[in-house]
Amino acid sequence: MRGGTQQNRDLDAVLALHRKANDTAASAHNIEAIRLLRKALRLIDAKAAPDAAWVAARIRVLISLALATSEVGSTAKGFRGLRRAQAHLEQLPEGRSKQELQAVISGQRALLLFRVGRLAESLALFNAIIPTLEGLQSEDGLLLARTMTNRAQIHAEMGNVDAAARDFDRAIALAAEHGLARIEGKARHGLGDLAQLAGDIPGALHHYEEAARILESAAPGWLARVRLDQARALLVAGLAREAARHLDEALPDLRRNRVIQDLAEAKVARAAAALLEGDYDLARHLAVLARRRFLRRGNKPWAEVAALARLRADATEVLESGATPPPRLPSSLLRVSDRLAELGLRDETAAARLLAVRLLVRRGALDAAAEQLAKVPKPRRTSPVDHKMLLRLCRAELAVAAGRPRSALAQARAGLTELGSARDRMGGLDLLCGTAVHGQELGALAVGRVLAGARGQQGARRLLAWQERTRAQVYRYEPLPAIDDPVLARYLTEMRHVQRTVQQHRLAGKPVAALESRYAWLQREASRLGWYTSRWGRPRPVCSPEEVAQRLGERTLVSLVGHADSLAAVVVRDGRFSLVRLGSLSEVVETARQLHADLHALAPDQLPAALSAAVSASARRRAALLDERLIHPLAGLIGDTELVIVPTGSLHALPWPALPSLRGRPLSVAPSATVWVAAARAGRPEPVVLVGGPGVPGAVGEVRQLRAVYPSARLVDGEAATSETVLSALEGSGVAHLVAHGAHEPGNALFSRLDLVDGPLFAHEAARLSNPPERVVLAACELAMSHIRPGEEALGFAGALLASGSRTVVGAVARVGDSAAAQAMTDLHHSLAAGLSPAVALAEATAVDPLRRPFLCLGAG
Amino acid sequence: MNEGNTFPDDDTLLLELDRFVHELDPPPDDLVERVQFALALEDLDVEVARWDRADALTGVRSVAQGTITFTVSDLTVMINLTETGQRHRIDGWLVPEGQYTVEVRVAGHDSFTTVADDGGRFVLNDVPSGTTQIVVYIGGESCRRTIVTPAVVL
Repeated sequence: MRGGTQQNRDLDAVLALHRKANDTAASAHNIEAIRLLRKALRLIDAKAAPDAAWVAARIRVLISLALATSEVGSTAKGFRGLRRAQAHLEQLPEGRSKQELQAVISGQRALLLFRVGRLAESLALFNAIIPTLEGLQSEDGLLLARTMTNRAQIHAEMGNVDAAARDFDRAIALAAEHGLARIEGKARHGLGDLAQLAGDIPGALHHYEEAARILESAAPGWLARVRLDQARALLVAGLAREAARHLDEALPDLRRNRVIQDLAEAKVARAAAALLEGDYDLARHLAVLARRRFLRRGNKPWAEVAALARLRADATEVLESGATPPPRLPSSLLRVSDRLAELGLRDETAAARLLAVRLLVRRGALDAAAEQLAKVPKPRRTSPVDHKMLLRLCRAELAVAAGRPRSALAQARAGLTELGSARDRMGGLDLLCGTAVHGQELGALAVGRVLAGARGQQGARRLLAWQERTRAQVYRYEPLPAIDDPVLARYLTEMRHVQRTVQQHRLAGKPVAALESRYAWLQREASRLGWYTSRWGRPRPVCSPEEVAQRLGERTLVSLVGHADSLAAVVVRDGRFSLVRLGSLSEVVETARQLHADLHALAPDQLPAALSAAVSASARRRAALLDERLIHPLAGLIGDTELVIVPTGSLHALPWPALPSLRGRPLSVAPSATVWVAAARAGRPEPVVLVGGPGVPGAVGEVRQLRAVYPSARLVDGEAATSETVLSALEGSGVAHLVAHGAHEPGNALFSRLDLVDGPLFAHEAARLSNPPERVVLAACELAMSHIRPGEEALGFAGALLASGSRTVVGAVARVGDSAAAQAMTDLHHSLAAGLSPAVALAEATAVDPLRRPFLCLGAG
Repeated sequence: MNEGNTFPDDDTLLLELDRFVHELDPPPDDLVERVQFALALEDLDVEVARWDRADALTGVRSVAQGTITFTVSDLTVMINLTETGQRHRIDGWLVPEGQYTVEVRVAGHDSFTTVADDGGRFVLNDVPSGTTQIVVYIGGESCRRTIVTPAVVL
C-alpha cells in the first residue's frame, strides 16, 4: 500500500512538472519548458511502473517536448518526437484516455504541418479531430478551445476569413465558459490579425488591446507578439510614435525568449517607425542589427529587405536634406536591387532601383538615371500604389532636371489619376517602410512648376486647378466606409489577403503564379459587381475652377499656395481669378505659430491679470503682423465680402477671426475648394442633438442650457453618453453640439478622438456615418485643428466629418477657457436658432473677444 | 581571521555601515548628473524661481499639456511647450516685459540663447529632450540679475 502511495506521489510530481512546462511554453519560454520536460522524463524513466497512468503521462510529456523542441530547433525533430509519442500510445487500452491522447497527437501534428506550410493536410487533420473532441466533452474545455484557435489560424492563413472568425469566436465562447484566459487572449489576438488583413485598422487595434490586457497576466511571454502585430497595424495607420512605443516594449521580451525571427522582424518594423519619425540614425542601426540576425538564421529574403530598409534611411535623409548624395549610395541601392531581383522580390527590387534613380537625378547624372529607370520592371496589379507613385515621381523629377517641365506635369497628372483609380492601398505596409508621401511629393512638384510660371488670370486659374487636383488626394488615402454588398466585400477582403500572401510568399521564396491569377480573377469579378460604382474608395470628383467660381456667388475664395519658401494666394471673385504673391512662407508660418502659442497660453479663465495683459499684447501684435502680410495685399480684391479660405499646410490652424481686418467678417475655412462646393448646399435644421461628455466642467450645464434654445433637442449626457449612443444620435441629425474632451492625432487624423464615458469615439467611426449631422459644433479642445508639422495636409476630427458629408463644423483651433467657450457657444446658438448662417453667427460670436474665442467655421458656413 | 569576534574594528564597522546605508537608501541615479548640471552654471549668484503649480490656472477645455509658470519676487516666466518630433519648441513670455537674454540649458547639450522682444516674448526652437533649465539675465553690467527656473525634465 505504502509503495502505491509513493507511486501516486511521484506521478503527481511528474504531472505537476508537465503542467508547469506547458505554462512556461505557452508564455514562449521554450528553453525553460524543455528543461522541465526532460526532468519529468528522467523521473518517469527512474520510477515508472508500466501502468496506464504512467504511459499516459509519458505520452503527454513526449508531446509537449516535441512541440517545444520544434519551436527552438527544427520541425523535423518535432515530427520525430510525435512519432515516439504515437508508438507509446499502442500500449494503452482502448478508451477515453487513448482517444483523447490520439486527438492531442494529431492536433500537434496538424500544428507542425501548418508550421511547414502544408496547410491543406493540416486543416484536414483538424477537421477530423474536432468532432472527436466535441464528443469527449472534457470538463475543462481546454483541448477543444485550443484546437479551435489553432484551426482558426490555418483558416486565416488560407484566406478563409469567415471560417477563421467563426473558430476564434467559438474559442472565445469556450474560454469564457471554462475560464481559460490565455486561450481568450490568443483568440482575440487572432481576431486582431483578421481585422488587420481586412484593412479594418481600428477594429484590429481594439482586438489587440483586449488581447494585451488579458495576456498581460495570463501569458506575459505572449504579450510581445501582440505588441509586434499591434505596432504593424499602427504603422499602417501612420502612427509611428505609438508603433515605436509598442515595439520598444516588445523587443526586450523577444530578445529574452530567443524568438529570433520575430525579434528581427520587430526590428525592421521599429526601423520603419524611426524612418517615419525622421530618426535616421536609429532606423539605420536597427536595420543593420535585423539584417545580421536574418543572415545568421539563413533567411536571405528578409536579410535583403533589412538591407533595403537601411539604405532607404540613408536615401531619405539625403533627399530630405537637399544635399548632393555620395556616389556610393545609388550604387549600393542598385546592388541590393539586383539581389532582391534574384530572390524574386519584385516590388522591393523596383523600390530600391527607383530610390537609386532619385539619387542619380539629384547628383545630375541624368543619363545614368534614365538608364536605370528603363530597367525598373513595370508595376503590376498587385504592386502597391505607393510604388506606382514613386515611379511617376522618378519620371517627373528626371523630366524637370532635363528641362522638360511639360513632360513632368504630364507624369504628375497621370500619377495623380492612377492614385485616384487605385481604390485602396492594397499594399499597406508590405515593405514595412512608409512611402505614402510619394503622391504628395508628386503634387508638390507639379504645383511648384505651375506656380513658377503662372502669369495673369489664366495662370491663376491653372494654379487653382492643380491645387485642387493635389489637395483632393488627401481624401483618397482615407480608410474606406463599410461596403453593403456582402459578396463584393468578401471579394475585396480576399483581394487584400491574396495581395499580402503574395508578398509573404515572395519573402519565403515560394511560387506566386497561382495566387496572381486568383487575384486577377477576383479583380474582374469585383469590377463586375460594381466595384467602380460603389461608395468604396471612389475618388472625390475634383471641381473645375469655373464650377468653384460659379458656386461662390457673392463670396470670395482665397486659396493659399505654399511652395518652398514662397506663399501666394489665388483669389476668385465675380468669376475672375487673380494670383497675389505674399512673400516668405516661413515667416508667416512662424508668426502664426507664435500667435497660436499666445492663444494657447491665454486660454485659462483664471489667468493672472499681468500675464493676461502681456500675452494679449503679444497676440495682438502678431495678429496685426499676419493681417499685414496676408490680408492687406488682398484688400482690393476681397473688399468686404464673405470669405471662403483654403489654407495650406501649417496654416490650417490659423485663427483668422483674430486678424484685425477680418474681425466680425463671416468666413469659412475648407480643406479644398472641392470640399467647400460639396458642402455648400442648404441643410436641414432638425433634429438637434446635444452631447455632454465626461470630465468637462460645465458641460452638463451648457448642454442643458442649450435646451432653452432648442426645446425639442435630444440630450445625451452623463452615463448615457457612450460612443454607440452618441453615434446613433448623430446619424441623420441636423445640428449636433458636442461638449467633450478630445485629442487631435497628428500622425493620422482619422484616429483623432472624442472622449466619451466608455472610451474614445474615433474620427474614423464618425466618418463612417451614412447620414452624418449637417452642422456640428465641437465645443471643447482642439478638434478643429489639422496639423502642425510643416508640409503635411492631414485632416482633423472636423475634417473627417466634412469628408463624410457634414456641411459645417464649428471648432476651436487652440485651447479655450471653460467660461469663454460656454459664452461663445451660447451666443452662437442663439444666432443660429434665429436663422443666421453658421458663418455669420460665428463671426458675431467670435468678434466679442477674438483672442479668447478661437473658433473657426469649417466647411461651408 | 577574527573568527568568533562579532565586533570588528571601527573602520570595518563604518565601512559596513556605509555599505548598509547605500543598499537601503541609495542616492537617486541622476543625483550626480543633476548636481553637476546645477554647478555648471557659470554665475552661481542666482535667484531661483518657484514653479507655480498649474492648478491655479485651471478652467480650460483641454486635456492637452498646458503652460508652465515660474515666479520669483517681481518676475514671472511662462512657457508653452510644443513637441516637434523628438525635440521641443518653447514659446515664452516674461512679465514685466523686456528685452532680456534667455538661455535654455539641457543636460548633455550645448545651451541655446535668444533675446526676448520688447514685449518679453521669446521662442526657442529645436530644444532637445532632457533635464532642462531656463535662465533669464536681467539688467546691465552693474546691476545684473540672473534668474533660473528649477530643472524640469522635458
